[in-house]
Amino acid sequence: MAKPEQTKSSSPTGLREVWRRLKKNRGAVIGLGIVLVLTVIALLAPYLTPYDYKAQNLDLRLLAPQRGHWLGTDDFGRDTLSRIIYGTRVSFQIGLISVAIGLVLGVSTGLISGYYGGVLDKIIMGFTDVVLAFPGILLAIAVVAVLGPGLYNVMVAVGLRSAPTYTRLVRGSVISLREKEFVESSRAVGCTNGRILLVHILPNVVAPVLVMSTLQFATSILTAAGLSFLGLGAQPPTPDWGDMINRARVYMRTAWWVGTFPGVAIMLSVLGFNLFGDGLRDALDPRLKS
Amino acid sequence: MAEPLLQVRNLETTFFTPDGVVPAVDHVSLSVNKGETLGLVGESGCGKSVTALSVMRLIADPPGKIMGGDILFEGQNLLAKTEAEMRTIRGNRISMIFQEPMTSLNPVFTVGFQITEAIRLHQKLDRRDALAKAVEMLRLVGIPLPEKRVYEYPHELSGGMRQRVMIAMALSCNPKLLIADEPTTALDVTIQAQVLELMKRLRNELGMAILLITHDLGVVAEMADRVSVMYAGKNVEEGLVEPIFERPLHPYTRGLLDSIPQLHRDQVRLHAIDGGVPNPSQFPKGCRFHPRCQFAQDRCRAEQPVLTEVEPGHKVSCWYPLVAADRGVA
Repeated sequence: MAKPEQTKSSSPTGLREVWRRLKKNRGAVIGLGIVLVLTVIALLAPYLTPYDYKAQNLDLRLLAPQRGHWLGTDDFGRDTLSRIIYGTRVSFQIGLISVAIGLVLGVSTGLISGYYGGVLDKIIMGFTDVVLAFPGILLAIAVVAVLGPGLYNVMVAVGLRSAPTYTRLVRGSVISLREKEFVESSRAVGCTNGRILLVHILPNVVAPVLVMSTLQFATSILTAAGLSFLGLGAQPPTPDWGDMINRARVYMRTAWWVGTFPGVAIMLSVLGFNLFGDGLRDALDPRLKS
Repeated sequence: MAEPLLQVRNLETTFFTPDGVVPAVDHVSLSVNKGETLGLVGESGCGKSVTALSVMRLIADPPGKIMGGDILFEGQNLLAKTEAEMRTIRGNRISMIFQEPMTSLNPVFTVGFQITEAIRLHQKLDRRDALAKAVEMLRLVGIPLPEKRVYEYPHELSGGMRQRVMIAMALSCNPKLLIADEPTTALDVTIQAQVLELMKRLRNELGMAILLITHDLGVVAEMADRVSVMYAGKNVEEGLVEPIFERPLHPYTRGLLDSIPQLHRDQVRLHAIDGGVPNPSQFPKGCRFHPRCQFAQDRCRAEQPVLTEVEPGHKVSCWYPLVAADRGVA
């Protein structure tokens, strides 16, 4: 007899099948490529940067892209490439933490709301409706206004604002899963409500939540960049892409490279995550795609 | 043999829906003796499953509520138990298998995980021992290569195999009572026979009682010792299998028996009971079967009959139980 540890691991058929479908989707592969490259850059930032991201050199202000400074320098003479590389780290941090906040809040409220229903469901749904009624960036601005500007407060703001989307997604899935016979049979076996929710229902909503998180990662980066652009997010000298664009505004006509490259970085990372997320969705649920 | 294991007395389970109050189970009584199989028979929507779910205390509240009656299991009233006490009974003393083997297993876990879960909820076994027990159970229900199958997912098994897994899961804690809610309805005929054979064998080997819910009288004849026939949320007839099949006393039971195609006789049309099951939120006055009953008389339209013992062990709820002449040759 094989070892009991194998009980839960190795679902070879499932995962391999998803990977096979993902590989066939060109957009998803490109997206995954971008995501992987950005991840490596974020992890290895200190080893990749040609210069210190905060080293100023006023003799080298606003240099155009050239040998040594491949993406030029900004108004303090800091190397744009180095700052963008470090910025990847900041953006990933924002993405990870704000997605985590949204995930924990949204999935837990969604599970409770969908499973128990009743008054609890009405309260939670009422709350998510209120939050969703605000334009996203406005709500985030309001949260930052209360908490004060700063990178971590931006993560909280973006996380809070993404939570209701998770709540609705999870609630919808749970409502349909709740009626499934395997839930009834796990109750007939003597499971508690908590166990049914966490052991039997939660794993069944992982796929849509995973897709959502990938897409939300991109949205978070974008929203956070927007907040930083407005001066509410990362504070200098943190090399945040949104903040870099904000500072480059003045030189848009005279030194286009200062703002353009951080913009390209934002665009690429958002594109990468969105392509990957879309591909993942198609691969996880082939029925959606004709 | 005649020691009662489960006694349901005057059970009333009502659903409060936006369309009205639905008395799905209305003063239903039945008893299952130790080691015995009771067939609970009736059309769709007559309250068979609700009765079973009430015994397990699995009626979703809201909209459902058990309004009255007693459910005595091994002498203890299940309706007086707390939810936590019920959890120690479910899956342990009383197990249940459901109609749809395709959806009764969680698609994201291996069958081994699902059987060990049932075992570990009720027995103090570590993972390894529970898995060994799961393999043993799979072997008991006749699944080939059980050591390998425990690591498979439900989608890798056929319908018959899945129902076997469900049975293995239900029996893993040696329950005293197995409630089987249409266990073979979703299966092919050949697989049905295998699964019934298996249940019969296991009942004899493990000495448990079975409450078999079905609308298939063939299954009852095959499996059950006694039958209880339900119509529109009420018991209409109860007794040993043979007397009921040979001398049905209630016109409804007779109608059910008559609608079975007879292969040894030339039949142009199948016999059917005229009309349909009445809407539970507006049952007819008097006997609930009277609009469809060819023997109905004034008393049937006015007064509700009660379940009375006509012959020893044979109860019927009808003002004018069928006599030999009514039954004719059928």
